[in-house]
Amino acid sequence: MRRGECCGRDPALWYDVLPRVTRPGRYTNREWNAIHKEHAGVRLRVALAYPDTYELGMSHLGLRILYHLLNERDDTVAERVYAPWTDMEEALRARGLLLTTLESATPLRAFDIVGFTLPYELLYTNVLNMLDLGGIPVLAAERTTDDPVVIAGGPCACNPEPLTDFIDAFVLGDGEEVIGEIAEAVMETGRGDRQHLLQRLSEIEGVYVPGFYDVTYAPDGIVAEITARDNAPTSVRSRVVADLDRAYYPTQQIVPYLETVHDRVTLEVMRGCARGCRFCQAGVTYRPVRKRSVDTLLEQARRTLAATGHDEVSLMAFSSADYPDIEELAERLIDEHGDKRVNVSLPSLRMDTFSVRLAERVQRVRRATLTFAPEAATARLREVINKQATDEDLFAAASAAFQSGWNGLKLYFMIGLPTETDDDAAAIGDLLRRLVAFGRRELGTRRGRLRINASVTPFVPKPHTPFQWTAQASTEDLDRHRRLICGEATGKAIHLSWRSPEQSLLEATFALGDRRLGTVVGAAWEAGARFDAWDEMFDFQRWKQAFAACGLDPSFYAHRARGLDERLPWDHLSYGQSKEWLTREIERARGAGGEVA
Amino acid sequence: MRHQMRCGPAKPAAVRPAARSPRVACRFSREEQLKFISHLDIIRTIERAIRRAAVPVAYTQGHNPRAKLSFASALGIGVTSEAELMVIELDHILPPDEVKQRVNEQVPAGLEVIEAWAVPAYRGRYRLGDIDTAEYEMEVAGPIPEFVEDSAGQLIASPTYVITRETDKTSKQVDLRSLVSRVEVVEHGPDHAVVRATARTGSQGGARPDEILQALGIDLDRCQVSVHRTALRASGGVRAAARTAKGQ
Repeated sequence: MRRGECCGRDPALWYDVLPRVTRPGRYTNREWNAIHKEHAGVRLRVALAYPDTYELGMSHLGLRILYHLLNERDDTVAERVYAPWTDMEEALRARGLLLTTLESATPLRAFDIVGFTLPYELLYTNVLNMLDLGGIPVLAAERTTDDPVVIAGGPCACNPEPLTDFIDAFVLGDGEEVIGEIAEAVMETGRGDRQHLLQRLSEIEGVYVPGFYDVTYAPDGIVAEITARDNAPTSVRSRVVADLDRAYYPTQQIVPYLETVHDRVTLEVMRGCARGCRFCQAGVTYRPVRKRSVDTLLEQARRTLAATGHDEVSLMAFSSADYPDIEELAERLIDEHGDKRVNVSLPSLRMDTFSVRLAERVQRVRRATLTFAPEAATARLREVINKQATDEDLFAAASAAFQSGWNGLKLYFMIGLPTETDDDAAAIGDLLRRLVAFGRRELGTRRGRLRINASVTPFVPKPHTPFQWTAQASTEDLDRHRRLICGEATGKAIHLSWRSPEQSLLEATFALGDRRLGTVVGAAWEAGARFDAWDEMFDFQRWKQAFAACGLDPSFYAHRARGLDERLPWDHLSYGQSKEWLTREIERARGAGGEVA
Repeated sequence: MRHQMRCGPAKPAAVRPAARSPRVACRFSREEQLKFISHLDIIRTIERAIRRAAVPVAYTQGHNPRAKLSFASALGIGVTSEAELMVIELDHILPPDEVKQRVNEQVPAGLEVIEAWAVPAYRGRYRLGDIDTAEYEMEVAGPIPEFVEDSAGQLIASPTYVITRETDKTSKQVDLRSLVSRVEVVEHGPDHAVVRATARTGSQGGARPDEILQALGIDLDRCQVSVHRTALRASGGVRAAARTAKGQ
């Protein structure tokens, strides 16, 4: 290809914009195994959108599955689009260029469906921005038959109320089966009559069309009633793929040029988690626990390694050591691929010696640290959150790690958990200090290399969990607890990292929020909010102004404990857990730790 | 540990081949569709292509074995080339044409091995690092100053030509003249020009194509530029130059 061809891109983009933006490879394409289909020959065109950068979006397994699954259909083309970084956005706007998909450089507005993955609340403004840059009216109510149907799924779809102004339909739960049903519904119905098409979509199990629901509020701001119209179901139940072993898994996966966050073959060994931590949303929404067989996984690894040339296989699960055949799987993977220098990695370790020994055997590449999640530092608080691990487990795991050659640990903690006291927070610092003393003894001559990284994140109450009724700790409490930890955890071996309380406040607000928050998302986006999940991009003042302008208060959503009989904004959406079970769990938590704040 | 056990006891020295591993040098292109992919990303792309192609590449020892591949001077983002060089160290002999064919079946469009040749064992260390000179052809569309040819002449005629290189935090004075041995304006009009240049490249410091164009008085902010690398060579050593290895 010589000058002038521009790979199907606008010449201005190719010659003026791309040479001047950071990481232009984010916006080009033709990666190995990327699929390029003629649009003329298909009945349905789908743009799969991820509201963060290419490097993060290409690491998302769910989106890979949907991309290949849709493209296996002869009647459908699916293409990818990621959030442009701010320099690219500026260039697109300055030149009046539209945001396009990677494969065919088609503007988003020319697709039948634009499907977003919603991984995180602090990326909502990027969703609006991508719609706008793609030439699609940001407000669902302003879309016409010329516009695509905008669909969203993923973790945040379990309370999508703050996005209902902007998204036509949400998909709850596993996507593998429902995506085909949606594709067929759009093909059969066409886009000619939008109302009819949305009605048809609302008939599919797991599809939530918010426009068919009216929400009223009591004078105190609490949801009074959620009413379904136009034959929409009163409760939308999430989709569950019953047989994970037979569920679709793409083996001809795209091999990115850019180094992505998870630059490896990811095998999903298990979906769901049986641990029952009360703060954990994924533990509830991905139920029940389903697993793939060792033979299926080995076959998937074989094909994907051959098709991609990757040199690492990651065994993904919420807790991969809980996969019953983990040892057999890991050993057989090493037997089969070890001489080809394939590394096996276990991204989520249980906090025990078994996991460490396993990691030692299978992980050829010694990363600097092993990661565990004690979450809290006192037995009382761990019981409140139902984290079934003890300090003894942690020290035993640490001992095994140090003996096996690791010099460091990474630990995840939360602060501001329900019933947390100053003592609980200080105990985190104390635990870290004890771990350092322990590590120095265990490491002996290597003690100078000891490194304990602790990531401390404010607790965010999440819908569909037993803690959905609890309040997030105030910014003042979080700051005080943070100072307590800092005061205790001193020494050069300890490295603390923090999630900002302001970002966590917004996360809680949108996680627990209702439809009225759409105006806030819109106002913040108009004021320039982008990539709020990125620390360097986050501007809390902008958000405060947006809330003030809309007459809403984030504290109402985040800092207020809810009554068990209160109507919650997501009460019409179900992941199969009964209110009785959730109530029982919150009461157990209260029994374990005193009154839950 | 497991991988050590599988390796078994060290082989007796007599069984080990005395000669060094066979090596194949490749000249490859990076075309328009891949010009925005960085040098490091291209290296990873080739490593994965080689794995898919089952080319018997040798690996380094140790916990984290790496394929034994070496590359000549990095190519800047936005630049195309027909002169990139790499050397693949093999576990066992494979004819260069076979290497070329296998790799070409597995590289994405826009990357192509143009020629491959065996590097004789007697050459000792095949030092791509000796490569220090690149030739570029640059097409510029946009306002071209009338005096562009004179500027090229003056640049070469003057003893020094100091430019300032700015990064986010630092700024550094560099003598561009000492890094450029030839600048030739092949054709030019009011709104286009073709310039050929020979410049230093590589780890010892080099001149960037856009610096040369700026030295000719071309305002790059108002121009569209296509830069193509046409050759890489070693100015001093006969040992290293890829083309020398083929007797060219």
